[in-house]
Amino acid sequence: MIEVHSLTKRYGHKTAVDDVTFTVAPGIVTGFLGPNGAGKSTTMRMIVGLDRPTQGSVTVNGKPYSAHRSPLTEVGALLDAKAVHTGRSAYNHLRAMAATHGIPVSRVHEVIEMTGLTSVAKKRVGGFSLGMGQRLGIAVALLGNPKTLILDEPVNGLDPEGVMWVRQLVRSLANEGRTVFLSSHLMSEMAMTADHIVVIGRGTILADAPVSEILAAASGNGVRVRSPQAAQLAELITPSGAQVTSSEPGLLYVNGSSAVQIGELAASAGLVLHELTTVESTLEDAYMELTADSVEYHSTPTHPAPAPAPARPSTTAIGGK
Amino acid sequence: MSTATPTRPAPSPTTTRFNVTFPRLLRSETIKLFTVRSTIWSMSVAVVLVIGFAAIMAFASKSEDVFGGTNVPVGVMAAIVGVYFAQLVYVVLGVIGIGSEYSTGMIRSTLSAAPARVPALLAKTVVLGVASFVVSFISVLLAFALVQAILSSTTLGARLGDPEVLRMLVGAALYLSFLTMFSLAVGAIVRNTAAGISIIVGLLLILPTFLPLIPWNPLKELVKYLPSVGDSAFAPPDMGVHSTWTGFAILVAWTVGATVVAAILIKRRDA
Repeated sequence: MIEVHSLTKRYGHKTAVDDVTFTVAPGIVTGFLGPNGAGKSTTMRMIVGLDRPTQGSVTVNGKPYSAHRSPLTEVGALLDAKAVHTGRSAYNHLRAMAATHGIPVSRVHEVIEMTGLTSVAKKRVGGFSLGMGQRLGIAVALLGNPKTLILDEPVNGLDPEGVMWVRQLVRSLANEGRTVFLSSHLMSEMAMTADHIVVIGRGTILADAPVSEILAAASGNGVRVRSPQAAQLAELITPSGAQVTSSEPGLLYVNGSSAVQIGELAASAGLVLHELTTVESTLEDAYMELTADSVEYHSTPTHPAPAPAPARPSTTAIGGK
Repeated sequence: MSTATPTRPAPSPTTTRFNVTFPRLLRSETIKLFTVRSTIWSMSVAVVLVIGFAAIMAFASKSEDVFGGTNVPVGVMAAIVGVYFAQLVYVVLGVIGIGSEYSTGMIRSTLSAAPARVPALLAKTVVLGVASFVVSFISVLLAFALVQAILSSTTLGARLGDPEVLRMLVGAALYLSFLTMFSLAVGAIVRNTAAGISIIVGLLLILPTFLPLIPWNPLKELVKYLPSVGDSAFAPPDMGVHSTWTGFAILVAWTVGATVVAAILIKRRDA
């Protein structure tokens, strides 16, 4: 269990985290989403005592992180996979970390096997690929068999097999009753893995709810309808108060009626339907809506170069059908 | 994805025997020290410098009076002269011990495992202090043996039982050990290897050489309290400004002071 209470962090004039309050419960996977620069990493660093809050408090399993006598068995954190000495081997790094708590070498071998690092364990970390470095970070987090896991972008750089492995791992850890708190930018993964989502933007909490609620609240939910009698259908639907938009002839997008209602309406009027699809918002859509105003670093869309003008035909083309 | 997964209770905490203790931190720092190549390299260079210069001076003494008439035998003077060269290597060893953690980001791992922070810094200090003492003591003993072998055909040799000899050899190891710990503390304060090394080189070599050239008495007094006066621990008696253990006490004071400052800063600052 992680309890964040009115947490604030200021660097000079800049407020990175502004009066943030939320709780991360055990037994479920909680996702932490937010644009770059929103304050995710800063918040996570404050949870594990690496940064001191300007105001507010954060406790893990009832106490501040630094008050625990066995921190690595309380919280396993992957905040920065590069927090390793490049000249040391993965095995020795894990040994050194395990030694601080008296964790036996057998556990080191266990986590190396668990994370698939057996073949590279004795190699210098400086030579690791991004994915191997991430696996080492996860191995360190698992070393103390912790009750709480805090993972900052754990699937960064992992191949699809690794991504699936992390998903299964965090789900099984949560099912064991542990607290799992993970941040990611991979929306599709997050939608599959998380039960609860906390969204942060420009240092403030934008949403803190179960995944299903966040998806339901997004505006993209509706029904897509294709029909040769689209116009007639639209007129039948509109009195119910639903919004109907049409971007091309024969295609309707209805917001406010279910597919069942539209299907039965069409059948009762004898109209032909070519397509009747329920469109659900993805987590990406919901997230983009929530954070639209909070994005710190906007990318500018690149403008494609104008196509060269086609050669003019010498005779005037005769138009018409 | 299920909508309302009932939260399962966290697994009941077993009283963990995996607590962080100071002996465990010592063990961790020892593992860290001896699992990077730079340690083995710098220790090897330090040993070679002490023994190498001892051999050179011993050979030179056979034909000339290189030490200008000291009150201790040439046999021991030659053995400790290499310390002045090797000390730079020990400075680097000390600064890198913590500087490399900051430059690679490893410090975040260290402070995650030991969030009380100061015990981790002290454990590193103790490990580096003991390691540098052992390595330097072995170097001067080996150098001493080599020098006596080289000077065996002359009257310049010395024996361990001779007055001041054992004190000078132990003093050399103590000096290098505290210098290493002092360098570690400075490295922890500035959190940067290059800056740390520059500062110590400035205090150890540059200031003692150039400050006395300035004809202002307060500065000349100041020079007497720089950490370099710790070399009285292994110098012949009554050669320097201070007596044997007074000079060493000044180095100890610098080391303790710097370590206290480093401890305060590491506790207060963001990782």
